[in-house]
Amino acid sequence: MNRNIKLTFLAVALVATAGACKDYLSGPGLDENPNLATEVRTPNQYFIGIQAAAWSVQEGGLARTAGIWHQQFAGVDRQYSSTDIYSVGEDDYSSDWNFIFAQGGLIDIRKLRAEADKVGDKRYSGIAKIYEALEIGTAASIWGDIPYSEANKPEIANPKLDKQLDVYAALQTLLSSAITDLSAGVGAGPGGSDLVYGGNSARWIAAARTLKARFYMHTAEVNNGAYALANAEAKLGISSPAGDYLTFHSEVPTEWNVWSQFSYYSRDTYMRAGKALVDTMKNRGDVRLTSGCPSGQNWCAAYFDGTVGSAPGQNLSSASNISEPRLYGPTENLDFRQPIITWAETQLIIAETAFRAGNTAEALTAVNAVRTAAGNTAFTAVTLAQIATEKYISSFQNIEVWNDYKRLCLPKLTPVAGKSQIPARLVYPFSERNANSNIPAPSAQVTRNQNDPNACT
Amino acid sequence: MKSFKLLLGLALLAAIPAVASAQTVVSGSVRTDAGAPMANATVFIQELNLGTQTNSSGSYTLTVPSARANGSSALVGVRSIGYTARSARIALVDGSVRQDFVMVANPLRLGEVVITGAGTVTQVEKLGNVRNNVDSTLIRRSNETNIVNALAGKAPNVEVSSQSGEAGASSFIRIRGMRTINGTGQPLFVVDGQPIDNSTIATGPSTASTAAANRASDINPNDIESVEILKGAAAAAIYGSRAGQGVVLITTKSGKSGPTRYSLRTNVTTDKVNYDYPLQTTFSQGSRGVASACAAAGCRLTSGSWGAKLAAGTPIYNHFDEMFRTGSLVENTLTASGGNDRTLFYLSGGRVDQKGIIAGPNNFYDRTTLRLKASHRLTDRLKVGGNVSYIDDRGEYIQKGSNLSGLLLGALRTPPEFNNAEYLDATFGLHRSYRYPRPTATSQSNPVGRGYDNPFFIVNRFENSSNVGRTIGNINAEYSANDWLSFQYTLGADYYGDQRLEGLPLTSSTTGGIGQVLRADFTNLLLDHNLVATGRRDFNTNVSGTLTLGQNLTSRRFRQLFAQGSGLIAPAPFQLDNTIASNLATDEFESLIHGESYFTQATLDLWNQIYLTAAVRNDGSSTFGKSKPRHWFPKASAAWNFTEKFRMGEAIPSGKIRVAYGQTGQEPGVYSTITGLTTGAFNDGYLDFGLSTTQAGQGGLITSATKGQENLGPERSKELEGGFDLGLFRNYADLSFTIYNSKTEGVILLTPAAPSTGFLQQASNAGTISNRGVEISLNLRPITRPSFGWDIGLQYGHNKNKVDDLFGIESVDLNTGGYFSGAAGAAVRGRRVGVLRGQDFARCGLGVITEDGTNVDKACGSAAKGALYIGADGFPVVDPTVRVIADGNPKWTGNVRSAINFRGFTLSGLLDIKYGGENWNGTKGALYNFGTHRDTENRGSSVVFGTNYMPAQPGASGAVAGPGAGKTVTIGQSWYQGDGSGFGSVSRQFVEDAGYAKLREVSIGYTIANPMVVRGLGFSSVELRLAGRNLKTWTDYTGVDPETNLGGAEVAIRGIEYFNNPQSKSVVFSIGLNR
Repeated sequence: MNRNIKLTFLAVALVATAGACKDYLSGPGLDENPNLATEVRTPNQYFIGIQAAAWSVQEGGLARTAGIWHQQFAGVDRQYSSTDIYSVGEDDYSSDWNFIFAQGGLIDIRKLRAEADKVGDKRYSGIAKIYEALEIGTAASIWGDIPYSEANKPEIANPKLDKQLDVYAALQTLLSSAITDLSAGVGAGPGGSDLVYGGNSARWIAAARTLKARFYMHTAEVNNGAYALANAEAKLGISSPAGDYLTFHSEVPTEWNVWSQFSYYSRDTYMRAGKALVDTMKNRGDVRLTSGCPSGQNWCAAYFDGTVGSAPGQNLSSASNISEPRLYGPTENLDFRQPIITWAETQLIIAETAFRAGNTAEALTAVNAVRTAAGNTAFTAVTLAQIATEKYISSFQNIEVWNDYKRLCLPKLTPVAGKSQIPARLVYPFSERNANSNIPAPSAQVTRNQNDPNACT
Repeated sequence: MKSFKLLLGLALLAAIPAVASAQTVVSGSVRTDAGAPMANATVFIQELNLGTQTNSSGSYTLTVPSARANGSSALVGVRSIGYTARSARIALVDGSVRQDFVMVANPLRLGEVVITGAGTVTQVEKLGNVRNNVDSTLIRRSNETNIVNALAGKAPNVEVSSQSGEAGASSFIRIRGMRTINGTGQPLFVVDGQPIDNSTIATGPSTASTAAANRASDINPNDIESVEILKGAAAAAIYGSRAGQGVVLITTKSGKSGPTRYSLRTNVTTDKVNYDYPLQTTFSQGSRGVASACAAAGCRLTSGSWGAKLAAGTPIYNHFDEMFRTGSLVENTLTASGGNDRTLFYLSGGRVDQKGIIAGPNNFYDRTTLRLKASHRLTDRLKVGGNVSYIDDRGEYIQKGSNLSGLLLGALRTPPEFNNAEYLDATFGLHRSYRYPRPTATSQSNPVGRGYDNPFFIVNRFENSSNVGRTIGNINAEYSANDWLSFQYTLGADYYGDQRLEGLPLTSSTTGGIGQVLRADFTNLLLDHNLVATGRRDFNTNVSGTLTLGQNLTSRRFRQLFAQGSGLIAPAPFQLDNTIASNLATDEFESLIHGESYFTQATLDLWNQIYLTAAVRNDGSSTFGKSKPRHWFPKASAAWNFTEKFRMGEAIPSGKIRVAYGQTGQEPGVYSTITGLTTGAFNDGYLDFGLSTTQAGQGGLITSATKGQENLGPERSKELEGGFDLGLFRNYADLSFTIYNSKTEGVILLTPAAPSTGFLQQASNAGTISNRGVEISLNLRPITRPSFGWDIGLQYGHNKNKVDDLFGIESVDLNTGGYFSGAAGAAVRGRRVGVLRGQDFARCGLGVITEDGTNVDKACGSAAKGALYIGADGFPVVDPTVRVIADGNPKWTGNVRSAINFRGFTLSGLLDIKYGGENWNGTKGALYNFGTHRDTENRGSSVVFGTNYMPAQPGASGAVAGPGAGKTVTIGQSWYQGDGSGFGSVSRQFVEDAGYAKLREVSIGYTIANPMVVRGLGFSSVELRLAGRNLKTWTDYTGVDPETNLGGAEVAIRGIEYFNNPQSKSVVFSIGLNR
């Protein structure tokens, strides 16, 4: 009897110990990583990361490549000698792609939108949607069909490719809803964490309109009706240079302008002034070539330190006197705020669409507004080539230069020797193809995107 | 009765109530069959929980209290390691009973209790898997203060390599091959039933920084009674997801009842470097045959020794030898142990004072260990115990490796004529080096580096210390509920704090001359709760069995804190407040793992010859993904002592065949299941800074690129092993043979994710690794007379490791650090884990297209595959493809041991053999570049590749082909600093065979047990021993030692030499006084 009691006691003790440890495997430090945050203190923390990611894309390798291929610059050294002759690898743009979708990209934009929706902050939600449109629109313009409707879904490991025009359509809807959100005037928004507009709804609505106009222009080659839509949006878009979307930078090294970091600090031998842009500006007597514009407007700082450009295929040793990019260079303008979505772009969209609609007066007014603001003389009459060239110059260091060229084939650019065309898209980055079964092998990918069936001849 | 023996293993000791007047006194003597008295044999009456030990004349006395002396009978048993247990039934009557025993040698140790882990025990003959036991004698003979080193050459397929001969350096152990690519593959260490920490943490990068200790070296080997090595999944499954790389079970010594025994053991060791580096002594510092000259203070001289021939009589210096001295080690261990029938204790204090082999005041390792292990029988059924040890380690280490402030990097690159010993210049007393021989007056106040630090400056002025305080302890209880059911409980803790300092003075080159103070604190706490219930039942004389149920809870907490101050303000002290505040960088990491496990094991003994065991463990760990938080690890084994059924006579007096299957696992890395938010910078690889996630002073957060894997489970090894153990020729020999086949599935690696999902990668159970092998042990005992014994042991182990799959990926770099550019450690599909990848010269038949577009195969014509392609200029050409260039894993390992006992003398030796396995000799490659290696004395000679000159190339044929084959070329600075340099692309030319045979131990000992002598001295016995450790190494390897590695046990990558510190050889004198 005594023995049985003891046994029972011990058995109970064993079971009790086991039962007490029901939650032994979870709790602080166990299923929460004490070394990493899993939630933000304020949505602003996502937003700061999102902005830094977006600027890394807009001022990064894609923009440099667009600039080199459209001869605003020339790649003259090491890997950029290859970029100069359109020889780029599948893995060269993986990090740009990664920043668009992961690591401060779509995944965090969606988290920010969710945080904003949770507290009903429409202002914040609208701003986040505009960032989503900017990032995804950039990706669609370069790679064409991209993962979007199935992107950032935990249950989908291999997001399918959406047709490029469907992506653009979705972005128009997204931007419209952003404008609705911002117009509602509800919510505190990011305030000072918005390093571009300080949370100003009106500025964001205008930028969204210009972005809508831009995306309509992207689709106009296959849908002429888009010109009119772009014209209408642009007229509601950014109404003065003060409303420009400019990236934010400071004198802190990890906040330096990315162009400056590349050309001035880390890779100062890689890029030089492009002959086409230098010569165009010289021919037109554009004051921005070496001296900047009189009004001191941020977006028209001096482009280069001289007037010698490098033609495609030239390299550093064969042309040592070519001019260096200037926005940084000798002036060390490390906190230069790069224009991304601007009043000038808006005006030149109006000019092009008006011109195409036969309204040359409206076109002339718009072009001259841009020219005089930059300290150049006004035209008395205008051609499509002049509008295109004006935009080519004012889109300095902006990925849009590529999209304009694909649509307009203006200004006329001569591809590097041995190539008949400037590349119209990039192959999907290796990081995506390596893990997404929907991405075809590079050899099986198209060479032109859905919105751009016609090569420039 | 066998089941009772089992209980004995748990509790050897007895309880008797206070002595009453009427009692039975059982006494007698225990002798061997040769008639010699046997000391230290355990005599026990199991039923009464009584026990004692025989004295030095072999006699014993057991007193049975009156309450039990009731005329009934009882079984008296005797047990001694190496002899067959004996028992006799006696009547418990009032008065004296005499019972003598004659013990028969049992070299196979049948009947001996074997600890099989997690509170389970069995007996040798019942074991279904191969046994690898290392007893205290073998540990003592190894002359090692690090228990891991003491296991070298003790069991087949247990590879041990120490990082270097530095005082306190870590030692790496690998059992039956690597089964992971995710960690270092070190086995679990368990001391007295309690898992302890054996991590090795380097303060800085393992390619540089200093050596560090592996934490199992905190155990005083003198406290160890025996070590069981559980190899493979079949043996280790009882430890489930912590046993993927095997388990080392350590049992410490316990007190025995009887008079208190004292022993004092003193070892005095002298250590010397076992190598001299081949350096050239002919050519001066300079370039292209022109000596360099220092015109003025502040001059910067060329780093190479490609200058003019030194004038006759120029003093030259041995830059290797001058950095080393005769090290010494004094080790004292004092123990007192004893007890009575209720209480037992073992108390020990040990102290190691080691002066390292590297010159200067800052190279030492001191260890103080204290241990108290005690138990007390509260009632006849309940015994409680405790086992507490405290360890205090203090060591100072020397910067090594790929490090401008590393000892041999500066030393071996120094031109022969430069006197490093004058490390301070005569004018200003400032640090001078061969590249900066005349410091300017301001070169410290306005600090500038010295190119490479003068090694004498390093050993005299640097301070790299580790101070550890550690407590390992447990309380335990054993309760016998009745004659068939018992409980066992252990609650243990292992806590240590390790405080590190890396103090690099002003002018140290790796800091750019500004100096540095790095403080690192590591704190580790393991808690372990283990409750086991064992029931046993004898169904009839032919069938008996046991059933064990257990619960195990663990908590493992780790924290590290780094604070690094750059830029010393005053030259001293090495203190964070003495550094420039704005340069302070800190880093923090902490982790916590909980484990909750249940296990059960059933054994069935049939007809005293067939033994079946089945067990299963269910593990829950906080590291497992939520989708499957618990995992099962089964095992089953069978052993058949077939000679019980089929008597084979004296040729095979005993034989067993066995087969076992088991599964073990390795936990995922902590927090791999969790997705976090991170800070960092956006950088496409072209920028120095990129854009940080902090902008305008506002801290941002982004989602980590690595997605938490909610489905992550343990890596799982499934292993089948089989074999036999035979006693041969009247047990003059025994042979053990084992073959095993293991497949590790779900090996964890970071698999790529589509960025459009929001992540770039995720840890996944995606790889497969197999290990197959054979293990053979043969022990011969040609002479077994009491006054003259000779035994020989031979062991052979072969393990074939292969990466079967890596989620379709060709190659994954090992992620534990220790990389070297040009020789990166990797897991490559179809090859072994840990091969090195790099480049070779172009060879025929491999489809090589060179950088300039030459199709090598075409140019080779009909030359044999592997022939070296010689370009038109007469030199070989670089193959641009990165390939596997070295495999550090041996083809087989083995050892030969022998001991001769003759009238109190013992002569013993151990030869350890590693056949095959390659090292990358990066030191040689670098010294070719600098022109200080002796091989570069052939500079200026005309050679023909393939005829009288060939870059080192293990395994290649020596044939050459191509347009320049047969062409005479000049070998000199251009070659040695070009493609023939270690800094060039071709790493393969510095890969060498690193097989070896090492005389690990040789010793002669004498035990004075002559009663006249010992009584005169007041001791029961005196042991004297003279031993050598690593006295001789036979190898073709030309580097410091074939057993070398740049990183210690903190890295999985083996076989890298890059200015590694050398190994040592030792002479040991030992005296043991026992009372």
